[in-house]
Amino acid sequence: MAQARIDPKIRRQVLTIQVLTPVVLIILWEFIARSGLLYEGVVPTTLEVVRAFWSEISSPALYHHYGITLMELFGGFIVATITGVVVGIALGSRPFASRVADPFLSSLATTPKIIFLPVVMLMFGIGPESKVALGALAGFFPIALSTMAGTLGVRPVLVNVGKVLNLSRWQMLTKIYLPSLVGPIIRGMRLGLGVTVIAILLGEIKLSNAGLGFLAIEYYNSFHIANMYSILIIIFLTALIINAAMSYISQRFDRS
Amino acid sequence: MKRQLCRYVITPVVAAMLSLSAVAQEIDEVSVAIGQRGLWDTLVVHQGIEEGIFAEENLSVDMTWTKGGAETLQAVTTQSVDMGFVNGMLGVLGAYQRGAPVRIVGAEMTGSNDLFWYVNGDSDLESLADAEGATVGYSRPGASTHLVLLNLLAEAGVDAETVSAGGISDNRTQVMSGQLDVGWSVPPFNLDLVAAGDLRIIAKGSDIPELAEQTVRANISNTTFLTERRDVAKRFMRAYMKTVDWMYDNKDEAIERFAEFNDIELEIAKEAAEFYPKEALLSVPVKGLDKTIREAMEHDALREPLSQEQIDELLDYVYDPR
Amino acid sequence: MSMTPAEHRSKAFLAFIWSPTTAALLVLLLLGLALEGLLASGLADRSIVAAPSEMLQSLGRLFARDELGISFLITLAQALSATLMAMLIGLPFGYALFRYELLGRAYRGWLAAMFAAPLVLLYPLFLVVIGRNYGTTITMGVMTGMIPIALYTCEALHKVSPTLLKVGAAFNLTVKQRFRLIQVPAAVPDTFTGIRLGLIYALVNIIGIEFLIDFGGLGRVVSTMFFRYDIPGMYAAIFFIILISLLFLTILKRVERWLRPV
Repeated sequence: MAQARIDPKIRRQVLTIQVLTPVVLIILWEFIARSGLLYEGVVPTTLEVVRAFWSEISSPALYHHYGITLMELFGGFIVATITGVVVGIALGSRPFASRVADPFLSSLATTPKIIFLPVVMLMFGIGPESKVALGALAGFFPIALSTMAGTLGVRPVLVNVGKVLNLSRWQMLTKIYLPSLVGPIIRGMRLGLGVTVIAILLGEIKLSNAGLGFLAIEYYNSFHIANMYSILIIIFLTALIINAAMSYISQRFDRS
Repeated sequence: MKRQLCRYVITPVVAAMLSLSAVAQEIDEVSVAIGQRGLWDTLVVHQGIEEGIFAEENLSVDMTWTKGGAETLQAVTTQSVDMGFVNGMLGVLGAYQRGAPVRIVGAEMTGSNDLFWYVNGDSDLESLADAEGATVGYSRPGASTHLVLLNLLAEAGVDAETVSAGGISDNRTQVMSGQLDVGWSVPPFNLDLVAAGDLRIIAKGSDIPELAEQTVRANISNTTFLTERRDVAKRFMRAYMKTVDWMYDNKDEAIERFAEFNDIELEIAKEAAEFYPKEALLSVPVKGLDKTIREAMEHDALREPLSQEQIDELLDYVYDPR
Repeated sequence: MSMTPAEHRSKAFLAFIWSPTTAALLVLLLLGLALEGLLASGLADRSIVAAPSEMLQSLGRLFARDELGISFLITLAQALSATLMAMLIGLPFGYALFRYELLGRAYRGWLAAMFAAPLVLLYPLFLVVIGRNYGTTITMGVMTGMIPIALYTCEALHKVSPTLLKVGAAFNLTVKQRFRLIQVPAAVPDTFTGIRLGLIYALVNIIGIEFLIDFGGLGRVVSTMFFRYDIPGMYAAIFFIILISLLFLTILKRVERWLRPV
């Protein structure tokens, strides 16, 4: 969506607010950390967090855990995307089937996927496979729902043109449906990636020996709170980068 | 003649001997899941690996740490791993009764010497006898922390408010911030704060001698592993028991490794190791099963008592040195 | 020719028989029967998946002995409290984002980014600060629920048709009157969408955290069943949570449809 031109004065004022806000929050944080209002250590000072952050990013061990989380994320998201798109198109191209499936998909979509971790663990074990499976399960639903809605919304005139031209099923898929579905699929992928990240990290927190989620909870359990905060910062920065990347892809390819 | 002797006799004989020794030295891989990383009793396998005791039995061990009994149990029953260590007895009994393909290959912890309860350094409570109406934490209903606490409170004759306060770090935070009066822990956790005076121990599992006669955690394996690779299981448990012997015969070295693993001071590690008498870590026999079964029924882990036949089936000591 | 009441009833009955709802229930039944068959034949492993019949029996047991009903009420109470608090913060904040252009420009993008951020991962932070109690679960619910409420409230107020405002001005309504009589009613449907999302996010996150920290209501029940190796009980608890999600979704969608102008 194109942004309207903003008055430079307003732009400067907005920027000032955006710069001042984190500064105010950090000052508030420092006050709480040094005030003794809370038990010492639960809110470390900014300096302690910065030191812990530096120590983490200088440690090779972090990158091992980071790599595992990224691998689980990549694996889970790929599986979610492929299965979500296939199921979405299959259901969306049959309106009755989509109406049958919609309550299942919608209610499962709103169920917290972390409660499926024991089920996934029973099926896939305690290694990264269970986290990949959990991530795939979480990401599947928004992608399938969005693709299904998009397929249902494919202009009937395009479908009819395909039928008139006697296109095969494969040709219908690749020349009629898929080009129309780029937007919905990307939107679904964007939502799906977000929930996949959450599911995988929560899975690592609850049951794993590696990954950023595991690191965060290990630091919590051993009461290295500043290190825990630094891992959370790394996780949120990663989520920001991923979101920004999906935003870019969305703006580039989603014509709607 | 000499050349022919070499070619046709000596060389083949040497080659045969070499290949025989290669077969004899074939290493068997065993995957294990262990709950509660970093405790003196949960580090037995790690100690054995580092000391080469498992290698002596031609075993290569692949270790996975879990958060606790439930995950370890699931990993074993679904054959994600061959053996599981540090499983709560109630969970194992319940799983067995529900048809899980699991067997107890030995006791992991007998008695509750490892558990202790503490208060904030400036608390008025000197012992559990003072804890009338106070909030006292345990991990979760039916866990060993819960059962031992109930015994301790009954012994002290006190009506305290028992609270499912979660894990060690949850308890520590709640005690330090005043949300909980008494929290639970196991060594080496929180001993540094005890040493610094920030926390004070007011009760220990060892305060009730009778508890020393009850196995609270077990080591398990799945039936497939025990059927198809029984010899490997036997060698593993032999190595496990040898490691326990080694740890107490070479305590200083074992403590050093324990301290290094947890990145704690040697003095704290020594103090932590004192909580664990050797008798607590002996694998055979599993003790106090009758009492455990009663407790399992009370806490809905078992629907009905196990018969003697079932007990005999469940207990499968693959290696019994007695 | 108009239909008789009997013909109406017959037609409605046939419509129900051939409806997607019936088909969905039939599919569920067939899947259940297939699973029973696979388990009975030994092709599926009972230590991994529970038979639907055992699961339904366990559901009864969970209600009778494991206080599933009370756990549901605990979770519901947390979700409703969290949503109420989220509304108390989110509605005025959303209005402020609309009313003050600078605030809106500065924070709307950030809020949208936070909407997509894994805020639930902050729960260890709240565990440490607030403790392992309802304060943490409700705070997480408030945090995740407040964002869609604020965003949608701001969006809803922005979307009010300028024509309606001009009509108000033509009737000499004051600014406050235009806000109260035109903007607020016009913004209700979209604002309610935000409240619906806020409630769902709060509920989902609360159940998730209950499972993770093994405390509270429905999520704790799943965790307890897992701890006890009660596989049918665990599946029963998960199934119940899915049913609750479906129920909430249906009720909220109906309310939203009722609030939207035709």
